[in-house]
Formats: sequence, structure tokens, C-alpha cells
Amino acid sequence: MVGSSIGTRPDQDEIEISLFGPGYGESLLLHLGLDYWITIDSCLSSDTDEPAPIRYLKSIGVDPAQSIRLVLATHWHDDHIRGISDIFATAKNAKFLCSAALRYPEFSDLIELSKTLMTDESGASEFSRVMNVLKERGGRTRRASIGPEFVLAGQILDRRDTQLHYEIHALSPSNASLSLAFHEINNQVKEITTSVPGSRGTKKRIVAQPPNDVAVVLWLKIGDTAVLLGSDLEETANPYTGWTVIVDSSVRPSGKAEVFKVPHHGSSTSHQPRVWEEMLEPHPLVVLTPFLRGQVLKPSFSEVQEILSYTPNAYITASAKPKRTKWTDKAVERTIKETVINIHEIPRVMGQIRLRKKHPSVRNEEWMVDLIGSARRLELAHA
Amino acid sequence: MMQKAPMPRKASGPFRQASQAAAFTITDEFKWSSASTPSPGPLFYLDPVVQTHGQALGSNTSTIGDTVKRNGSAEDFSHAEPPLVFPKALPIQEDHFQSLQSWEGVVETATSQGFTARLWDRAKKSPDQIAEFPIEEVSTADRDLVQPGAIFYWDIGYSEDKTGQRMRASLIRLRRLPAWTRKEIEKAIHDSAEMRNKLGWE
Repeated sequence: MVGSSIGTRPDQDEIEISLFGPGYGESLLLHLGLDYWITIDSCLSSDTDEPAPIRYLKSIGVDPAQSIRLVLATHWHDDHIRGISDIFATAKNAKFLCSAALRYPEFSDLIELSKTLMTDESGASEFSRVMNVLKERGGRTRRASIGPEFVLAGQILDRRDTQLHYEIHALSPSNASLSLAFHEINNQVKEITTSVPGSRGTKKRIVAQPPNDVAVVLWLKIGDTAVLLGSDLEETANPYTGWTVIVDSSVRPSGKAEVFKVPHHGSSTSHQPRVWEEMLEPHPLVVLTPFLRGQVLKPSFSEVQEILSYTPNAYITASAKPKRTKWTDKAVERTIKETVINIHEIPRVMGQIRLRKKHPSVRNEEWMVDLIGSARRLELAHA
Repeated sequence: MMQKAPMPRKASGPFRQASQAAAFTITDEFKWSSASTPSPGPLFYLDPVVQTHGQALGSNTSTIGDTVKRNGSAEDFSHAEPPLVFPKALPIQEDHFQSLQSWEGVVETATSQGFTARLWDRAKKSPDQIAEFPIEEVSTADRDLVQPGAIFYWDIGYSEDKTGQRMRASLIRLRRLPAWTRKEIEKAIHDSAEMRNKLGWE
């Protein structure tokens, strides 16, 4: 596998999968040929606070306004959604898709309530801005429904039937996980609407809470090549949610994937051995992002070893080892040590893993891997 | 030419508090009128250093630190004996906090033992941080405010009390913003229905 020229756009018959992640946050960008791009989730570039996929597209000479056709939010956790409203506002030709878990009226209530309760950025405020863009665009269309489009397991989200064929299948969320999500959102709305604070009450930020099992997992079929994009889906004890329900599904597309975006930052909670055995080729090409948040550091050393036991072809967008700030003032440094249990920088250096190959109908070749910024081989995750 | 001396003025403000042991009133004769303190005679003679120091110290300069001539006008000041300078009283030291580092934070997760928060340097000079705090770092009165989404400030610096005692300190203050009202909730629910209708949200 040899890296290609970093600043060039892919050929019209070339497929690209780019994974971005600075250490907190994750975004995917797909080129499916013919200047047709899809973004999945969003994270921000460190220096400009611009969504990473937009910045990258501009850097290789692609006009995001014209070329992005689908914007998908797999779930509404902060680390997957920051900047997604900017992507959608920029992508003037795009449709907006999100998990069907957000279809419930209670979720739109939560979005509107967030405008009143908000004190800072959050997943709810990103969705609120997406809805504003949709409303604005809706004023110029006669369509009965102007979105968002809700994604459920079993749906085909997009396809092209010409020579450069592709299909995008949704493998989750399952019906059972939707019920759980409804319960979760409904509880959050109830908590807000039934507990008007007293005089000591205060505004706060709506912080997205679990579960991750409403996240949208995708199966991308490009000619005879398949790619599994695992989002943040975790394995659960409930056989009707998580990865088990996907592996056991009789309606999921057949075949095995040669590329795997490892779910939930490689954590053991997302690990299901049957996915490796039944849905992936031997020694697949795997990519993932780390998650550094206080004492929560993913993937751990043992989780890295677990992934490497399945494949040596594994890459991560940034180090999974937290960076500590060197404080110039010794008094500040001493006081920090005496006060907190743990502190580290929120990682800001963007890493990108870029995979490219010709469409299989044009030429059968291996994926080329480019490691940009802080991206590295997985065995160096804790270096 | 003789210059009329200022009218008697009472020392006021912080000076009065500071000089209880030697309270005085300036008279035409520039005599100390404190019963408890005998006239001390000249205290300081003016020189550039004293003058500069006096100016730097005080905000209350109307009665304190004034330069007056003992016998004669200001014009022949340089030829006469050095003028009398009343001492500049140091302003009362209130408790003072000198911040070395200040963050704004938002609580991400909270338990009864502690909380995790994201921190932004308010001076924008250092990278954003994620930190985990024990609950003991928050004042007892504010602990019920430590919930996901709560906003707070964290300051590290030196605290100095009235006596000039200096202590290194870490201060966490939870921010209280106007809470939402029943009316706002009703409006949000109404707007939500309107949004769904407009978008054809089915």
C-alpha cells in the first residue's frame, strides 16, 4: 500500500473513504465516483473551527456546495455532531439524514427547549440549526416533506445503478433500540418540563446521554467490494439491539467487508467477535478514531491488542495517549496537581486516514492508505 | 505673599479608618488636634521620591499627602526650610484575589464523588482541557448545582487578606443563570409542533 499525492482530488472513477479525528470527535467523508460525496457525522478542524470534511474538500479543489449530496448524522453525541449544521448549510445540494430514533415529536420538543435552556454548544443546538436550514430551503420547494429523512435498519439510503455502481444500506437502528431511545428522550423532556427550577435554579447545557445503540451503522457496497462503517454502535445484553441483532439479521446484505470502521473508538463494549468472523474478510483494513475524555481513554492498550489480533492492517487518526499541558507558571501547575484528579488537553491536531482505490468495475486493486496529520498505525496508538 | 491655609477638613474615607490611633483635623495653624496624640512636628520633608511615592499610593489625595508650606508661600518654597508633608495613608487592604489562570467550564458528567468538565482558558492562551474534580473542591452551598450542563469558573491565583497574608488558592464558582419558566416551556413545545408541521416531519 503506497500513499498517493495528498493534495489531489480523486479521479472520477476513484473511490475514497476518509476518516477524520483529532482525539475527540469523528467524521467520515466518502467519494463514490463522479464527484459525488457523502459526509457522515462531523468534527471540527483545530485551527479554523471549520468542519474537517469541508476544509479537506476545499484543500483538494472540490466545491463542497455542489459536490456533497448526503449529510448523515449517525447519532447526536457531541463528538459526532459538532459542525454538522455548518456542513449542511454549505452543502446546498444535499439531503439531511439522521437516525429514526430522532423521529419522535419529543426530540423536536427537545430541540426547541434547548433554545431556551442552552448556555453553550451541544448536539441539540446543532440539530436546531440544521432544522433552520431545512426550513429556509423548504420555503423554496413544493415538496410535502422537506426532511430530515429518518434512517432505520433495512433501508437502502442511496444507490447508483450505472457502471460505477454503489448501494448504501442501513444496518441499524433496530426497532427495539428505537423504543429504548424514545424512552430516553421522553424522560429527558419530562425532566425539563416538569421541573421548572426555583429561585436557585440555573440554566444548563443539554448534554447528550447514552445509549449509543440508536447509532446508524452502514454497509456500503461498491461493485463487488463491501465496507462496514460501525459508527458508535455498542454491543448490548439485549439480543434485539447492538451488534448481535445485525449479525443475526436475515435481511442484511450478503458478503464480507474488506474495510471496517471500528465502532465506538475500539472499546470493548462495542466488540462482538462474530462481526469479525461473519461480516469481515480475513485481515480486513480497519480504521478508527481515539476518544480522550478525562479518565475515559479509548482504545486502551488491551483493546488495541484485541483489534491487532484480528488484523495487522489497522490505523488510528491520532494518539490514544493524552497530552498534558506544560504550565509556565509553577504556582498554577502545583495548584492544578493539588486540585484535580486528572487533567489533559482536549486533542486538537486533526488526523486523517485516507483510503483510495479505483472503482472495482474499472480495475481490481488494493486500497492505498494515506496517513495525514496525527494519523498513525494502530500499534503506535500508545506511543 | 501669604497664602491662606485651607479650611479645616476632616480626614475621611479609608484614611479615617486607618488612622484611628492618631486621628487628626487640619487646622489653620496646622496643629494636631488629637487629644491622644501630641503634636508630632514635621513628619516628612518633601523630596521627589516622597512625592512620587505619595502620588502612587493614594486615590484619596484631597487631604492626605498635600504639600503645605510652614511659614510662607509656595513660591519661596525652595528657599525656605523644607515644607511639611503629611503622610500618605495606605488604602485599606480589602481581601484581594490575583488570578494567574482562569477557565470557564461546563460539567459533562457528575456523581456524588466528583465531576468531569471541559475547560476553556478565558484568556485563550492555553489549550482546552478536560479535567476530573473531586466534589470537595466545590463549596457546600454550590454542590447541588453540579449537574451535567452546569457552567462554572475555575480560578487559580493568590488570595491576599487585609493583613497582607498571601495564600495560593483554587476557586470554583458555579454560574447561576436565570432559570427557565413555565411560559418558556409552553412556547418551546408550541414552536416544536409548528416546526414539525412546517417540515412535514412525520
